[in-house]
Amino acid sequence: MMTRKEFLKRSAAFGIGAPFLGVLLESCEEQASLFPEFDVNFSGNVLVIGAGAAGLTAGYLLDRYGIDFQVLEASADFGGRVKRSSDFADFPIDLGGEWIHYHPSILARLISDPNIDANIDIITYGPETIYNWKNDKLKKQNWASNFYSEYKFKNTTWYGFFERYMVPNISDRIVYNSPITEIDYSGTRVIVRNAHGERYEADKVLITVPVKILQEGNIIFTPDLPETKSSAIDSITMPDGIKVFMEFSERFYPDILFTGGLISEFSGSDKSYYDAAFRKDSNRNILGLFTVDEKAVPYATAATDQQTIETVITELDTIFDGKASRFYMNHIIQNWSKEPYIQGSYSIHFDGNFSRIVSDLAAPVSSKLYFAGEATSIDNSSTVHGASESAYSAIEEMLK
Amino acid sequence: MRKFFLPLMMLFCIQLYGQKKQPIPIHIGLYAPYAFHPGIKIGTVFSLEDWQIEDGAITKSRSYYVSPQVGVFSRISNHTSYLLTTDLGYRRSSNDSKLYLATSIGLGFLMENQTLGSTVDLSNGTVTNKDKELRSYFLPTLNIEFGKESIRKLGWHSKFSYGRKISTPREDSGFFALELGLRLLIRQATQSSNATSNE
Repeated sequence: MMTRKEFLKRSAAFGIGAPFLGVLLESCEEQASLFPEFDVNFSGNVLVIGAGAAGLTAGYLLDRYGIDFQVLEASADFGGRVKRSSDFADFPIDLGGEWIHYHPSILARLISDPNIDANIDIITYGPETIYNWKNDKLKKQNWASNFYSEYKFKNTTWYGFFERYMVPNISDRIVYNSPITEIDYSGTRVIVRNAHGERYEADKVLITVPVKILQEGNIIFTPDLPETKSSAIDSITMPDGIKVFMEFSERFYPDILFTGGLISEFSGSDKSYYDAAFRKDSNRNILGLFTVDEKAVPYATAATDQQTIETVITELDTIFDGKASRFYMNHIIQNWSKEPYIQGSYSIHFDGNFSRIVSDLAAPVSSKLYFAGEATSIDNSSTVHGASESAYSAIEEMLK
Repeated sequence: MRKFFLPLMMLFCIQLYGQKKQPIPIHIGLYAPYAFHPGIKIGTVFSLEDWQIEDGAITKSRSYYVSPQVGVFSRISNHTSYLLTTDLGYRRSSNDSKLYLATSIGLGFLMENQTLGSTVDLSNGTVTNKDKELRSYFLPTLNIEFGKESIRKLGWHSKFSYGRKISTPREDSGFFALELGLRLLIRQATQSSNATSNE
């Protein structure tokens, strides 16, 4: 079976016509194996650090293979950078990871259960009105809609996806408000302590915390992590990230608004205003701001949420002739940079060879420490499904 | 509708030519709006007026023509579109090389069957398109075409089109398309001796 990557390589080599690239890519994706089976030669217990997408998926898999485990989550809720607001609008809003950056069949692969009887409605996210604000001018660039399309959940969220299909199996195994501060893997078993001094012990530990937490030294390892691991951790930049959702009494904005060069925005959008209610069967006018990296700094580092929303409304007023403040009703802010157990957005910049850094980061240490999370995904870093898939790789390695 | 639309238009075009008892030039080619949306387009050409210019030893042909075309293209998992368009153009060619260059304006009608949403079967990953919307656009275009006229029965053409998708309830958007294909003569002339140059 030809993988997507192999296909791209061969296509480039043989110069297959661009018009049919999409058709062939589609078929490659759909042919990919949906339900991997692992060889299990391990019968000890496991601690999973973090209940984000990777941690939940890891727990889900460990439960499936009958492995004794616990998930230790620092905050009071699961999800990590997957988070939901259920009461701001007439549809659930993703305050964190929102888009499905892949073929929607990936959802079945993440659940990997051929016996499940469930469907999920998906939106084809193809903004039709695309504006660009650059050099104090607002330009319509609707033609660009023909080059961009992704997917989103219609009636649920990434949080809702995990909540419904993974958490029920493992909810009694998740320990909340348990921020891990020490991991001692010097002995035959791994000793883990949290900020409250509570002690856990396991044969193997899967670490799924954001790379920023590792960079900040919030977890002390004994002995120190190997140099290759530390170097990989320090080579990754996980910059500021923030999402703001505003409700307006009237709609004055396009489906998506960029603030810079259109091509650079599409290739790695670091700031966009977008209609969060796009194809959501909503009667409300909900505008979202999603920004990461340098463009997020003015919003993410504001002293208060009030200052952040004032900055946003002022900017929108400039672009749309004062309509933002005229029609403003309400807002909600999710500042990921200020989340104590997240401290940023997601891995974006890799200082050095990307594949080597990610491989070093994902590599197990002493067959006792394993790593997963979006930063450890070579093919799909920075994404929710990439984080979830990385747990498959880590657990497969762990259970060998 | 798709089953009837294309054959119907082709029959219409062929019927027009049948009345003139000339060979029927058929353009059939890969059609790629926005370069990446795969499709096909079929059309024919009939001359409104032909004349020739002697330039030293070279004879050059000029013609005004009308070219009705139908096409279908798709953006995977997003939409399938059906195009009916007619170009009014001016073509210059050399009788020696048979190469030609044509410029034209087109007025098209585009129907877009847009997929708004789908359902994923979580047991096997099957994605079924669910919410669809049929949209209509007028599609005026400017076109430039380069190719080789049919020698005996076969030639080729390439074409670039630029225009705008215009729809009352929606915002306009730019449109461009690439086309590459063959020119076929599907029936030999019974009366006209200069059928090829009359395309």
